[in-house]
Amino acid sequence: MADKRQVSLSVADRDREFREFFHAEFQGLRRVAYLLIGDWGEAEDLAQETMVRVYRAWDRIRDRQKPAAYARTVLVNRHRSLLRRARVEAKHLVARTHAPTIPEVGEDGVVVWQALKKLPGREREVLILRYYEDMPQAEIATAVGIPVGTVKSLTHRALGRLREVLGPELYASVAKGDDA
Amino acid sequence: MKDDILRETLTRAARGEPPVGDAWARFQLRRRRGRRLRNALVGLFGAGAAAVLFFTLPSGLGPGDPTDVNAGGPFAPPFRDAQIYEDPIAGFKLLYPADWAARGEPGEAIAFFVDVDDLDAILSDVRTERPSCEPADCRPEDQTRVIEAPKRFFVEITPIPPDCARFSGACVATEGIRPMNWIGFEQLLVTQAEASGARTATDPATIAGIPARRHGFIFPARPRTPPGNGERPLYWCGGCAMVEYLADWQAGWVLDIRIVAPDEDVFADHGPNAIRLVESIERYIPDDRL
Repeated sequence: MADKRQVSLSVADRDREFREFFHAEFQGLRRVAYLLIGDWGEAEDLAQETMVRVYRAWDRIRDRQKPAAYARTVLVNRHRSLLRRARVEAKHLVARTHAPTIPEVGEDGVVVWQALKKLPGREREVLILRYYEDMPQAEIATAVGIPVGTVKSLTHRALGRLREVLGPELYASVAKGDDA
Repeated sequence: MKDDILRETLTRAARGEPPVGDAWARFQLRRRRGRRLRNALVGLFGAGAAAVLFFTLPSGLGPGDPTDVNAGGPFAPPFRDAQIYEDPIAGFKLLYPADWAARGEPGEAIAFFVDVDDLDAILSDVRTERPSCEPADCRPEDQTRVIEAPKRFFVEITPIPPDCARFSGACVATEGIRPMNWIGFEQLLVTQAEASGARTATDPATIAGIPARRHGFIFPARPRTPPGNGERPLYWCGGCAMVEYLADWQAGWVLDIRIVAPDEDVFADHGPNAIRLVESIERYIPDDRL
């Protein structure tokens, strides 16, 4: 009986702990998901799916210092799976009926946004984690599952693609923050 | 004026989000739905399952003999020295011959790609003859060669928790593979053995009729009967599923394999009576052969 009570208390503690984590991190995860996907509905779905997976792994990861970083790793991986699936579906299904909406980002921002959407998935992931989440390169490497050197080369390559699309003036303002 | 416009664009884009609302309640619903389905599957199949896949890449050979893979003991790997690729996040490991090179990224579906943009893992012959680069700036993809027939390799996938006794126990050979056309994107599924008897023949015409370079199969698990011409055997070993795949193309293969959680809603079309073990198998055809 005592054991049962202990177990149920542990589960309750665990759930309370995870709930706090959920409320602290869900919105941020959903924003990153939106920046990756460009659709708030799909972003919600991706963030929710990520949270379900984090919940299942909670006992393993809660003692680690950074469950939020783990959540971002899961999010990025799920995003990549979605990308792969979307590529397969694109081969076999008709195009989506709705066009993606462009967020309110200002005149120059629209150009940047559209250029971002054209980047390959992994380059987009690296840029978003770097410039939106302000993650250090080592953390990006962990989240995306690639060496730090690859993070640097992907960032460099992605900025190069933006330069082609944006032109030198806009690109200069984009690249300004890349020295850190 | 345009200081760091990339950062600003991302921040502004994310600012237009809809309210989070009852996200926690939606999360609870999703989590419980997954748990219900998982419990149902546990009841059907046991708590853990492992898939052991044998792949052979014979050059111009027809369907192989399933006893080939038994050489050296029941379901022994067809090579002596193995390396292990472990993916702690996705929760599986992969055995492959020691003289092959593999690169992968934990947490992602294990796959053997040569398309660098889509690169998740490379499993290839490590012969370095005729490298296309100078040693100082060689990238692995420059040094390695894509798998080409004849090759034979062995893949073991172990979900967490790995409570299957692999390579032991009474294994039951099951019936062959039935290609199933599902929006042109077939799945490799292992289903519960329900009926004995009838053999399901592979339909080469169905395979040939799929325009995409992606082929997967549904494996109905049924009691032992000798595999027929064109069929590939599947073995069911007390909670472990084993698949021998005998490629009948000479070109290399891209194998896109991952453990799909039973409660994942991606392929719900097939109902709850399927353990989603392997997402797909894709044949890689080197560009110069297209």
